[in-house]
Amino acid sequence: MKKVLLILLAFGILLGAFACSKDTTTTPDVTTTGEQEPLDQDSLLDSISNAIKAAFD
Amino acid sequence: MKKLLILFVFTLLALQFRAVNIAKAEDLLYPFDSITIVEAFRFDVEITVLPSSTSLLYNQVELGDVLTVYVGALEFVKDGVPSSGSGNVLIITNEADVDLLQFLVNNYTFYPSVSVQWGFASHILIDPAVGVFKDMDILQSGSQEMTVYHDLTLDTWKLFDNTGLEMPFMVGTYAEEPSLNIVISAYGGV
Repeated sequence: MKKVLLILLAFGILLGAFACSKDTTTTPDVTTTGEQEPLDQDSLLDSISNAIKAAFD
Repeated sequence: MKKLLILFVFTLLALQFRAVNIAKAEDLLYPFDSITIVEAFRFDVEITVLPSSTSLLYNQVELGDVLTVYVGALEFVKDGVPSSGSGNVLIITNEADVDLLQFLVNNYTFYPSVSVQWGFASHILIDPAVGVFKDMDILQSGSQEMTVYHDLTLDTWKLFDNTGLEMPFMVGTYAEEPSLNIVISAYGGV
């Protein structure tokens, strides 16, 4: 019985270590330079909107 | 002693499952540095029923107004190569060319020979510094979604607002640009 419990304990610790080490997000390499800065969401969507509308003109 | 060990093991397992749930609730990030518009289509709808007070179009349209619905297919690009898959954008414009709504795609459903449907939601946000992400806070507090529906058998189009109000397309207004290559930089000069 003790062995079973010890095995369960070891399995639990391993599972815990795996869950804690797993990173579900990615950290992007931001390519911004000193002369550029990212557009905000509204500006970017406006650019996309204008480009799509222009494609139909 | 055995009881203590059993209690310890179950406590440990419970804590781990909680840790996994928290990880799932984090925002999902997709990095990119530019966006390429690869195709787009558009159609018009006429407002024949006033949207209800909970509609995103409420107080923005009147009976008889004609709205133009644009859907663009996007590729997110990093260093010149597709980086995090693709997406779609919905733009709803009024007759004064003012955008009433700009949403990114949340879900896509395709039934061969039957229908194609896109759901565009308010909780899909775009931040050039990190990418496109789902804001789980908005999702939990009540996300809004608009739907574009294509009936493949009848070849008709419909727009549904967030309340389910159906707006059929005006016949003859559908147009598409199947081969675009428009690059939109996510960064601007200072």
